[in-house]
Amino acid sequence: MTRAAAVANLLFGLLVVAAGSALLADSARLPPPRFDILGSAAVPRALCVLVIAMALPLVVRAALALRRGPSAPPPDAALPPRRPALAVAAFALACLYVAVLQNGWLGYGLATAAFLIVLTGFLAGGRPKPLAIGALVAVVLGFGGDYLFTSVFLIDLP
Amino acid sequence: MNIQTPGVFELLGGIAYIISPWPLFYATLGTFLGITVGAIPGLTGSMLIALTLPLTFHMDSGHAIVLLVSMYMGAVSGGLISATLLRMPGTPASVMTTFDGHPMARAGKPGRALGLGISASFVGGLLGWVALVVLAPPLTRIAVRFGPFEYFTMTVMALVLIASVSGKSLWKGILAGLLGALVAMPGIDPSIGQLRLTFDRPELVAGFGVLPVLVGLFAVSQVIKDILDIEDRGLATELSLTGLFPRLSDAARHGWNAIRSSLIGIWIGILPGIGPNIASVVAYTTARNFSKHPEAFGKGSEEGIVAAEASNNAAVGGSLIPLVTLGIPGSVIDALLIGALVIHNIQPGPMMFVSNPEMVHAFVAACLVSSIFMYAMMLALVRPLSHLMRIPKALVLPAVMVFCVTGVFAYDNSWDNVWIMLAFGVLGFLMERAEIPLGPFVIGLILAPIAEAQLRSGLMLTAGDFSPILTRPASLGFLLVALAFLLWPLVRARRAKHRAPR
Repeated sequence: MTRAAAVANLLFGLLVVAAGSALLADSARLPPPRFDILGSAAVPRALCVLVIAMALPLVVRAALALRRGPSAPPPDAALPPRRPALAVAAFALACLYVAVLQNGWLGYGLATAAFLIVLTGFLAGGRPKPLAIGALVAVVLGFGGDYLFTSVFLIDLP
Repeated sequence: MNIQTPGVFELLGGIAYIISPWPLFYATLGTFLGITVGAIPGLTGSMLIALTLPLTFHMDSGHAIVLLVSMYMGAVSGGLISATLLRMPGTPASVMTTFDGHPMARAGKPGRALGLGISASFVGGLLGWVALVVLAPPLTRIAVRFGPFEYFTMTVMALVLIASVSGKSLWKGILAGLLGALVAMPGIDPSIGQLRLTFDRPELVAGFGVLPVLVGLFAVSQVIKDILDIEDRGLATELSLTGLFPRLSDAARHGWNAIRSSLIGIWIGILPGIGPNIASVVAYTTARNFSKHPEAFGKGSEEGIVAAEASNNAAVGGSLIPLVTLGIPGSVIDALLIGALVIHNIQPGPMMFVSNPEMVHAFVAACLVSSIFMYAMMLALVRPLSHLMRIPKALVLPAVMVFCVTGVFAYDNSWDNVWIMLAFGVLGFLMERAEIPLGPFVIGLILAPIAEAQLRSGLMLTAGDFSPILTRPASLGFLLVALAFLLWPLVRARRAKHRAPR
């Protein structure tokens, strides 16, 4: 298991255990069965117990793998490098875009165009040609999308 | 239960449905978009269909199905272009095509590789459609006799089947399926209307919507993954179209391989939950085992391309069979199609033949017409499509993210759903990194509410007696199949241990 895979397994396992435990705790508030033998709580409770039980070995194995150090060979040097910071930044930007729209700080057209230009700029690494095309796409998608949704599909956008 | 279900000829009559302007327009549009998205590495058919779901909410149900099925067929086929020219499978179903398509293209025969793949896709698509028309009516007649226990055990079997074949680890596959089932639990209990697992949050009263979860898992997580790998641009080859159009001699040379691979694709498509990706692996392996030149596989074998492409397209028609007749998805994309039916308040399964026969017609007609359109479009547009796949990801990915946000918001004007989509995008990305397959998760999400409702309804009928699960033949049969798939990896490991040299 590579270090990245071990971290992913650990995070996923912990997330599942936490979510399963929270749902299991909440299921305790459900009333006992009235109309059928199982009631509303039986299936969710069984699923919570099963996912926790199946996720725990993942957590333990991933934690042990991280303690031992990676057993898999390092990634092939010929493979292109990965850009985790860029992925995190892009996701954070998407969250900001949604927050801007939700709180009405900018209208749909302007917010979308701005989001597209900034993200394209990030991903293109500041190269002028993709950035120029990206700016054009941003304006078309931002303001064109606004028109399409509100005037053609008759959907309210922020 | 005495329910009249249509026969083969009535289903064929459904083709008339599509010979009208709007269905024909949506079939053309869907096939074109499917091919285009399939040809662009990083964009998948699942992503396209997940993104299109919110837009179909405002469409006629039949038109929506024609559009989505055409996208499905187009995307499975379009993947072969980038698989051949860039060594990057446009869709997971075209991974096997990469092994022989790209070496052929590097050897100066890209046109021949693409031509064989396109023709094999067409043959597979047509045979898949024939299977849909021929097998759907008798299966429906059987399915209408099923009671709640049969449905419950069948959904359990579907979950085990996909968990056992969709990843390297059965454990992780089952965990993914159970997690998907758990995600379907919060909200209103469908059997008695009791609110459950909402943590008193009003935004969870309706549960996690299928649409934001699917868009998050398939589109947002893919965007994150593509940004992570943005430096990966594949190995481009020059495009020469010599040999693109098939010769008559190819029918004699590759005909049997194409038919055998299509039959494998249809069979694997029919098995609940599996679909085109696995079909191409099995057909490719079978073709190599039967080939007079197995050593050529992986180095530019024409047989390998034909096997992979015929089977993955045949699996599309095959996987629509359990969807239409039983309401069980034959593949992950079929789970998205079930999501589309649910959005349109249509119950998938045998009763669809009675309550919404026009939907069955839409499935059948779209499967046929999109195969024909796919063949014509791929042959005519392969050169512009080969340019399209070189569009920088820096331009495509931001636009896809905007479509995700806008589409999910437009579905029911809810920002909660947009945040749920983003959260499931992160979960999907994490699952992909941890090698937890998404397929069982989606099948669990879609099937768990059905399985629970059927089990509880069965128990109400029998006053709490579980024994019909074991005493009814079909129910027992489904359970035994599920058990066999659960135990098979253990048996295989034990046999391998015994065979290993000591």
